[in-house]
Amino acid sequence: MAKSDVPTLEVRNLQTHFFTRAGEVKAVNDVSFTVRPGEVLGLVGESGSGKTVTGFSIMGLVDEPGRIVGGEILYKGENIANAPDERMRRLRGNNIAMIFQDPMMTLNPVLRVDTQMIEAIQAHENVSRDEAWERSRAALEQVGIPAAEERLKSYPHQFSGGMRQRVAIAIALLNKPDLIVADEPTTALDVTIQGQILYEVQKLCEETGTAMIWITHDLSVVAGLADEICVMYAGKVVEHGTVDDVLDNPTHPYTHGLISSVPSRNKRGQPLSQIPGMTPSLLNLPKGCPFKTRCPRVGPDCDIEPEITHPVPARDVRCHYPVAAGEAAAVPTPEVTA
Amino acid sequence: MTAIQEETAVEKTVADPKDAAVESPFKRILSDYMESPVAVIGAIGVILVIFIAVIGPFIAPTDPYDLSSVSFMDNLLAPGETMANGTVAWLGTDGAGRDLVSAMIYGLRISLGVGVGSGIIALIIGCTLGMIAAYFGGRTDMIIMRVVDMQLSFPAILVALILLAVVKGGPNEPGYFAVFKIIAALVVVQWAYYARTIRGSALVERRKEYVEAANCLALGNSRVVFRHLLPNCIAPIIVVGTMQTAHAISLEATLSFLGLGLPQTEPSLGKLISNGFDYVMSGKYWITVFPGLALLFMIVSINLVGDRLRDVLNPRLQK
Amino acid sequence: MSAATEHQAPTTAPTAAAEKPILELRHVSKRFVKPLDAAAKIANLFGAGLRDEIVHAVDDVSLTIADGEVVGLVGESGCGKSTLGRVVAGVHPATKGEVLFRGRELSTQSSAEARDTALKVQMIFQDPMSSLNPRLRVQDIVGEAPKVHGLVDAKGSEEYVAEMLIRVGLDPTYARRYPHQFSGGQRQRIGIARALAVNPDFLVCDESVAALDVSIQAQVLNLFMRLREEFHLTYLFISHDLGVVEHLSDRVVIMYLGRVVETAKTEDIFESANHPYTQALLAEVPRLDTRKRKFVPVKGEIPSPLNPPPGCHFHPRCPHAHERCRMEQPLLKEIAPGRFSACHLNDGA
Ligand SMILES: Nc1ncnc2c1ncn2[C@@H]1O[C@H](COP(=O)(O)OP(=O)(O)OP(=O)(O)O)[C@@H](O)[C@H]1O
Ligand SMILES: Nc1ncnc2c1ncn2[C@@H]1O[C@H](COP(=O)(O)OP(=O)(O)OP(=O)(O)O)[C@@H](O)[C@H]1O
Ligand code: SF4
Ligand code: SF4
Ligand SMILES: [Mg+2]
Ligand SMILES: [Mg+2]
Repeated sequence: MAKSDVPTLEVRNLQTHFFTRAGEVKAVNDVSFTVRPGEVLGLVGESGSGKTVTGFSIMGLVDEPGRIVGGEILYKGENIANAPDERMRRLRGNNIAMIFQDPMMTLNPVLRVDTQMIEAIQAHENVSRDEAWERSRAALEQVGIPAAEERLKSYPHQFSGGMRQRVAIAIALLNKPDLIVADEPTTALDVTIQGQILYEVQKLCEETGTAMIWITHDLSVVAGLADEICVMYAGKVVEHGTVDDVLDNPTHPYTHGLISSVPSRNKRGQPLSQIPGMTPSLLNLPKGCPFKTRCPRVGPDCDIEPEITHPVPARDVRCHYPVAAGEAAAVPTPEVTA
Repeated sequence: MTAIQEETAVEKTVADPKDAAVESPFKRILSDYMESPVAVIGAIGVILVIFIAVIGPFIAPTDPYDLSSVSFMDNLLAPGETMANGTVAWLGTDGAGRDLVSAMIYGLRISLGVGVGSGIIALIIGCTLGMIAAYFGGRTDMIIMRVVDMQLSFPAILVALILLAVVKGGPNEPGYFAVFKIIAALVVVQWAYYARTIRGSALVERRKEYVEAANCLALGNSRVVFRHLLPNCIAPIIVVGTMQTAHAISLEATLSFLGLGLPQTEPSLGKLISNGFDYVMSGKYWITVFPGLALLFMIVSINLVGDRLRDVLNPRLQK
Repeated sequence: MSAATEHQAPTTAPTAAAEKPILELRHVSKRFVKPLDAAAKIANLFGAGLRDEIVHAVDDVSLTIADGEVVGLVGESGCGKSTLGRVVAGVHPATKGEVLFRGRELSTQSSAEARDTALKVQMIFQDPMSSLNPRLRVQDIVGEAPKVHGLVDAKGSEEYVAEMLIRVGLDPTYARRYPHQFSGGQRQRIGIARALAVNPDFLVCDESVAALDVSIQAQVLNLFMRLREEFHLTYLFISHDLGVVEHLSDRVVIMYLGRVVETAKTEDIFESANHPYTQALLAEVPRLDTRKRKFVPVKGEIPSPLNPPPGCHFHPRCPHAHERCRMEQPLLKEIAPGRFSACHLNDGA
């Protein structure tokens, strides 16, 4: 289909800043990526690196004191950065959906599930109540909730955490969106339930061509799910490429450190390699490369902020001294990938 | 990567980024507070009221309690007239010939003293009971909270009226006894608010892991309650405390107005208002109006402070 | 509960080796009762027949942990891992059963002795934010318990705290700060220092690295491993991250809806899981080297702990479930030396 040439979402040099009393927090500072229909983009990074704010910016949900101060968010070619509320509300219902880490962000605790789902459908489409109900039932079955008819009559608190998350996902899928932004929806769940949710999500992308942005800090989930991966650090994308490329052959020292600090079978019982120090505060970033204070490869050029380069084909990297294929980041480490 | 270097090296945080950004919580709250001009005016008002109350005897032109200096000749002077002893009664005099400025300053002292005093006692009783209810839970909690519910389901003014009517002193009960009585009545109607508030926040705090950690370290119940739990439940109590103080002051004024509060010899603002009420019809407005304005000023100021504190102490509204 | 509970689990609790156990749980249960509210009680007067909601958070668990061992406790959210950890750490009393520390039962000891035992078992918590009292300085957070229990006097306290901070890799000059002035990883270290300050032998780590960044997680895991060797600690390491558990533990205990379903040496579990739930769990572990895989849906209904299914709790989801599984609770049996599993399939059906 010719349609798949148009990316579902293209984010270009997005900048979202928070203007707090303590200073300007550059939560998202020059982030670019593209998601095509049916594709899954994994967005990983340290806590506070701006993943959620990126998601919120796409959804038009950034609240005071935050603002999108630069860049473009192109949804099928239309710039929706700072689009009017009315437009964003329509998009959020019909075309773009977000799954939050906390399902109660989506669910209203005092309304029955059916009320909420039917409302969600009717708010965006002119259908009868019966039809909306039928669609809701189907959506619950789709996410693997048994006895959907009865469950529709329940209140959110009558579900377990995992089920609640699945209801939230069902609501996100109701209007068959073209784009889903999923913000760590499975972090708190047992791996078997997580597998169930990933299964639904994967099926949806394959069957309906929904594009997805999967935000997480769990590299292993991204490995199994995503096509491309964006690694964020301190508000910037520091490495971007296909999952296989990035995970097998990371070039940014942060990505490299991240991957080698994941416990894996052949390192059992041995000390893990670790990134020293801690995440810097966005209010007080070091001059030049923000990773400077923790980086094992730091060199004279690192006082200048690195621009995006392509040390290997099809890869965006922000680093003056990228790790070459097969080379260890600094001190020799055990094998990186199994 | 830089393999296991941390293992031996003590973590000297790299160019500790947090140092610069750190503000003490008090400073943060203060600067948040200052962002609202109205609240700052309220705070100035409260400080002014407290200041006047504290140094009252030194600035009052006359001593309204000193019967020898009060001359009946001066009664019902209009604002600005000169009294027999030569002082100008800027706000006039009341029916007994007392200078209204002085009477108001002393009345303010009493109103504020009764409000704050009853507030503190109610706070101590309420917080202790509320803490016990929250920490021990179960039956203890149930019994205490039932009493609280009962207390809160009666209008405060009604409870206070009944209490004061039941414990009626003779015509020559000493003045301080009347003050104790009204403080006691105000404590009875207030403690339940404190108990309910602190129980609410203690229930939230109690689930936090630091309380479990303290239990795990066998620190003992009273230590956990007073050193760990209580300091973390203080914020909402401060808010309720300011609001309740304002409430207590107006309640006392109401009771005095109804003749059940303080005696003639220790007139609070409420009593002054009530005294003046007899004269309003004859155009002697000042005896009621000026104490009324003072009362209004005091209560509004305290409430402005309380409102703002509620906002700045609420973590959900913090930037 | 059905007739199944009449069966007693083996009285000799599964043990890893013949070593002297440091901790022994015998048929420990913990129930939470949510009493009816007033409305429900009134409804009952009219014959509504509502009953108190009871959660069997931990249901007849027997477990032995050897001195110096690291035991990983795995299971899905809400299966009772934290509750078990709290019972072990003495934060909650058990509803039924005995907890023995070095052979002595916790509840029958005189209070001084009970206190000493209580201090020997410490807990490291999940949330680096809420596990430290925000109103106290690090000096007091770490130094309070040793002072209260007379391990140090007021004069020596500062030095003692400094020593503890160095142990966990923090700069001792941080002692005058408040928790909010630290990052998540540093706060977790303060929590560890607080526990170490009373010289424990046994640490219950409840999801202690779950809230940390991946890069910081490795730092804290390394710290746990170093401390284990330095101070000869025993760990009960609760986590739902199988990668972390595999990395750290000698033995793994798998729980499902309040019951232990399998326990074995880490290698054995990860190489050849016996229980169908363990198998399902392992099949789903995300790993860095599995790319673009096919995820599979959970079969059957995921049960609620309020209303667990009869017989084997796992039967609604088990691909091998048969008639017996719906009726009878499978008991934990030794299927090979040091390996225990609770599944009827092991009876050679
Ligand atoms: N309302 C706000 N006001 C001020 N700063 C904010 C606000 N919301 C977010 N930030 C800042 O923006 C930065 C990015 O936050 P964000 O929530 O996107 O991180 P994240 O990558 O999603 O982290 P996590 O993995 O912890 O969810 C953080 O440093 C945060 O402090
Ligand atoms: N204080 C309590 N009161 C009532 N029920 C409780 C209490 N603590 C735990 N429960 C219930 O006991 C069960 C087990 O909870 P527990 O916290 O032990 O699970 P968990 O395995 O640690 O889960 P998670 O992985 O989500 O932390 C849950 O159903 C929970 O709702
Ligand atoms: S630019 Fe320099 S400091 Fe930054 S990641 Fe690259 S080598 Fe490290
Ligand atoms: S006892 Fe039956 S249902 Fe339970 S795990 Fe074994 S086979 Fe499955
Ligand atoms: Mg986030
Ligand atoms: Mg838990």
